[in-house]
Amino acid sequence: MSEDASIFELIISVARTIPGDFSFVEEKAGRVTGWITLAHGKDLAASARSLKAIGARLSMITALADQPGDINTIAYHFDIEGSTLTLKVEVERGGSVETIVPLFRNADWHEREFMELYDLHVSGRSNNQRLFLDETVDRRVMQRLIPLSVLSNAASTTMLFEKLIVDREKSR
Amino acid sequence: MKSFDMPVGPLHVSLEEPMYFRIHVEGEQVAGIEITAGHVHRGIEYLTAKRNIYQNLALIERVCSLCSNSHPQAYCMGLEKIAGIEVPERAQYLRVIADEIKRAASNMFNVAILAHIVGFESLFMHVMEAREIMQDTKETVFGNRMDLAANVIGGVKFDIDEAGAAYVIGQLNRLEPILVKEIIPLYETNASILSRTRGVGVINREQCIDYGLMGPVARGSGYAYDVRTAAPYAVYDRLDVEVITYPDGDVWSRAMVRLREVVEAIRLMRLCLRELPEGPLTAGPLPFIPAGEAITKVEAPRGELIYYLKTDGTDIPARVKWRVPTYMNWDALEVMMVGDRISDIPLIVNSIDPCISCTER
Repeated sequence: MSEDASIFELIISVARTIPGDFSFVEEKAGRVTGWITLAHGKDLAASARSLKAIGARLSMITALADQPGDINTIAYHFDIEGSTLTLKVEVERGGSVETIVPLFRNADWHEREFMELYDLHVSGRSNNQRLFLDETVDRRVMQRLIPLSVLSNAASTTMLFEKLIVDREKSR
Repeated sequence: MKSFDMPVGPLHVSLEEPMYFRIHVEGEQVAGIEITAGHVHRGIEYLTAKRNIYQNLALIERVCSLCSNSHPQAYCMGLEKIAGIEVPERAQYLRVIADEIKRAASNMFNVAILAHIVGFESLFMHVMEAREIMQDTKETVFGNRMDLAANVIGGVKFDIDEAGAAYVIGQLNRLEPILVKEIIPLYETNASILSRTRGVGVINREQCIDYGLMGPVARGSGYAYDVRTAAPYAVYDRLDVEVITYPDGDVWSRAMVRLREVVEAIRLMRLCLRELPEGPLTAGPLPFIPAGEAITKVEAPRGELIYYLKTDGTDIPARVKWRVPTYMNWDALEVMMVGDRISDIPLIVNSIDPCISCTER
């Protein structure tokens, strides 16, 4: 069995031990793209640990908002020798997941980022300082910002001009 | 020993883009670092869910200038995966040429800045002048020196005919000897370069893995991961890409990886031009893009760029998310900087080839 084939088999066999719905597609050069939707969010750390045991590296974390039923999904993408395995965790709006920073140090920035952009929380973290957005900006910006198209349709024009006029009057 | 905190940034002479560092210093040495980002956060990820897939192609190319070709390429690959679009072979080869020409120009820019920080201005100008050969080539082939607009969903929107190929090879023939006979030996032997970069900003292989580092930074520490060989895309699996590594993990090693990768990029471009098959440039009219999701990865000049795409059957993507290699490199600066001198900070920051607009989006 070639090295690529044995990694393929290893990924599939470990993925099948993780409780949840598993599907995969075979890619070029014997690589695999797999998706696992975890049955329970509490299985996240244990699942991540079993991936780390086979040499997985955390590539990225993606948060998806406004899914049907007011559910947010957090997708953890792992790389194993060029293959990708994604663990999906479903979280209710305002809910939380456990941190995986003790397992994957680079999860720190990803967790901080999705906490400030979405109404999601991560438990067990020591540093919750904002990553990109100023502390004065409310959470959930990815779920509540006014689309640029609305702004560019001049939806704020009246308010803006009134404010300018008032400010000018005050300054006199 | 006197301890104090020193602010660097967000606007600073040694930074090309805004980032704020609060550096804890003991005497002359860096003892700790705290990073505050967000100065150029533009909400591009949010905008991608408000624009259709074609508009996003133009938007995504503008996330960053130096790796501007990698973003649309990974994005197109995602849509092609979801819709089952088979990209023609000629387009696959042309995509590699676009990829490698950007890598050559990006890497040379970074090592030129290293010379500038060291104070070796004549070397800085020499490398930048040599890089102009690649910039002129991009302008001639693509009509633009930075954003190439090379990719479309299902292929490419540029072609290189016989005369074009001869021109590009001529340009590569001009650049390679300057690089191999003049620039690389200078970086390998010049005392000013070596004394400022050897043993500075060190991070070892295990720390790179721990921090999830990729690209020339990790390869400069001996970690031989390159998406072009680990998860080959386009026609990289046919090109026998050499993964360049150096063992020492210092500023110099990272620069040498980048320089050697320019030489390898020249070889790959030559090979692609020689093997370029006949055929169409695109897969034809765009088919319906169904609901689905995909993960794609490419080797950007700074390392692995990963894209996640989710579509819902409309022409507006449900979610586009990406992570650039610089994202992890910031955090690893605490390893590279601690114990080094204050005067080395700009060199160490430059050695991760930082891309702030890419990081913050």
